[in-house]
Amino acid sequence: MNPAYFPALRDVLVHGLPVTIEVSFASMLIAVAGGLVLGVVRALRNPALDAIVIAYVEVLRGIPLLVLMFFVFFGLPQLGLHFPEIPSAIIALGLWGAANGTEIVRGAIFSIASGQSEAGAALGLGWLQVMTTIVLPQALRRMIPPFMSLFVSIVESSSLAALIGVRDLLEIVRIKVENDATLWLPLLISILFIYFLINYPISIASQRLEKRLT
Amino acid sequence: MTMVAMSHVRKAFGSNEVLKDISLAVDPGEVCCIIGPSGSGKSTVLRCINRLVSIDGGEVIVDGLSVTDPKVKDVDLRRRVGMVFQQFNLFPHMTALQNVTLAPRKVRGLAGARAEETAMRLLAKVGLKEKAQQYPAQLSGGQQQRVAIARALAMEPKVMLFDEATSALDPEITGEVLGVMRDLAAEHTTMIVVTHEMGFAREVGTQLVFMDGGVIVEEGAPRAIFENPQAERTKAFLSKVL
Repeated sequence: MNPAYFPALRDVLVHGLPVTIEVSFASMLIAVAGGLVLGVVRALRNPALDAIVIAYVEVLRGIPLLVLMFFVFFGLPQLGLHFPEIPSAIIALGLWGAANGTEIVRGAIFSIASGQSEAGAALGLGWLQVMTTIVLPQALRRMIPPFMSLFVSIVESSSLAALIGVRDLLEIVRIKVENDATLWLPLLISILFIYFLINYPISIASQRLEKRLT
Repeated sequence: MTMVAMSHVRKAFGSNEVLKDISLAVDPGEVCCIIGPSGSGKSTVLRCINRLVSIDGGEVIVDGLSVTDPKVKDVDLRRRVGMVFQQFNLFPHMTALQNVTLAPRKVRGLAGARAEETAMRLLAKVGLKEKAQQYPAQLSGGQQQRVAIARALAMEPKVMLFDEATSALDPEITGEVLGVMRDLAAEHTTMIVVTHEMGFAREVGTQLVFMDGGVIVEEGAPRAIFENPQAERTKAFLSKVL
C-alpha cells in the first residue's frame, strides 16, 4: 500500500467530506422549501402563476446541471452578481432541486382525491385551511419516497461542484493525485464508499418512513 | 320562511347544460327527496346550494342568503348547509372524533374541549361513541358514513344535503345510515336528499322531486307521485326502479 494513502485519505475526510455534506444539505433544504412553496402555488390553479412555475420547472430540468453551475459561477459575475464557489454550487443545485421538488409536491397534492377538498370546503374551511389541515398532511406522506430519491441525486450531483473549484470529496482527491497519480484508484474507491455511506442511510430511512406512514 | 329557494337556476359545464331552469322551494322541517336517472342533474342541484358549484343563471336563497351575492361569503353559506357525500370523504389521517371536531374548531372557533364534547354527543347520536378514536380505515362503510353525518351536524347547519349517501354501501348496511337519516327527519331537520332509496323517499320524504335531463319533471307529495305519477317519464322511471 502506498504510504501517502492514509494522510491523503485523512485530508479527504477532514476537508472534503464536510464540504460535500454542506453543499448537499443546503441544497436539500432549498429543494424542499422551494418545492413546497411552488408546488402549493401550482395547486392554486391560477393560469398566470402556473405559467411562471411551469416555465421555471421546465427550464431548470431541461438544462444540464453542470452548465447551470457554470452559469452561476462564471456567468453571473459578468452581470455584477458574484458568488463564491460553495454558494454558487448550492444556488445551482438548490434551484435544480427545487424544480424537481415542485413536481414532487404538485404530484402528491393532485393525487389526493378531490372529494377531500370538497368535503373540507363544504364544512366551511377556507382554501388555505383545506390545504394545511386536509390536503398537505396526506400529501406529505406521498412526497417522502420521491424526495428521498431526489436527496440521493443531490448528494451524487454535488460532486459536479468540484468543477467550479469547490473543495469537496472529489476535488480534494483531485488535488491529492496531482503529486502522486498512483493515489487515483485507492482514493476514488474510498470516496465511492463514502458517497455510498451517505446515501444508503437515506434509502433505508425512506423505506422505514414509508412503512411507518402507510 | 322558505329555507332553500331555487328559482330558474341554470348551470352548464362547457356545452353540457346540466340544469335548465330549476325552481324548487324547501320549507323548514321538510324532507325533500330528489330522484331520477343518473346524469339528470340531481347532485348539481345540491352543489349549487352550498356554492360548491356556481350557477350560471337564476337565484338560490339559503336561509335568506343569496348564493349569487358576492357579499355573502362562502363560509356564511356553508355554516348553514351540511353535506354528506356518496363516497363519505372522511379525512383518513384523522380519527372519527378529529373528523367531527375539525370544522367546529377551525371555522366556528370552538375550544378543543367544547368541540369534543359536542362531537362525542353527535357520535353517540349516530351510534358510534365507542369508535371515536378509530381511523376511517378501521370503520365499515356504514360506520364511516355515520361519522360523516356527525361531522356535518357538528356545524349545526340549518339544512342537510345528502348526495346519494347510501349508494356506495352494500345493500345490507344501507339500513344503518337510513336509520340515522330517519332520526334526523323525526327531529324536523330540514333535509334535501338525492337518493335511489325509493322506500325512504316514500316513507320519510315530505316532498318528492323527479328530475330528468336537467329539469324537474314532476314534484309533489311522495305518496301521490309513487301511486299516481302524471308525467310519462316519471311513470317510465318508477316502473323500472320499483
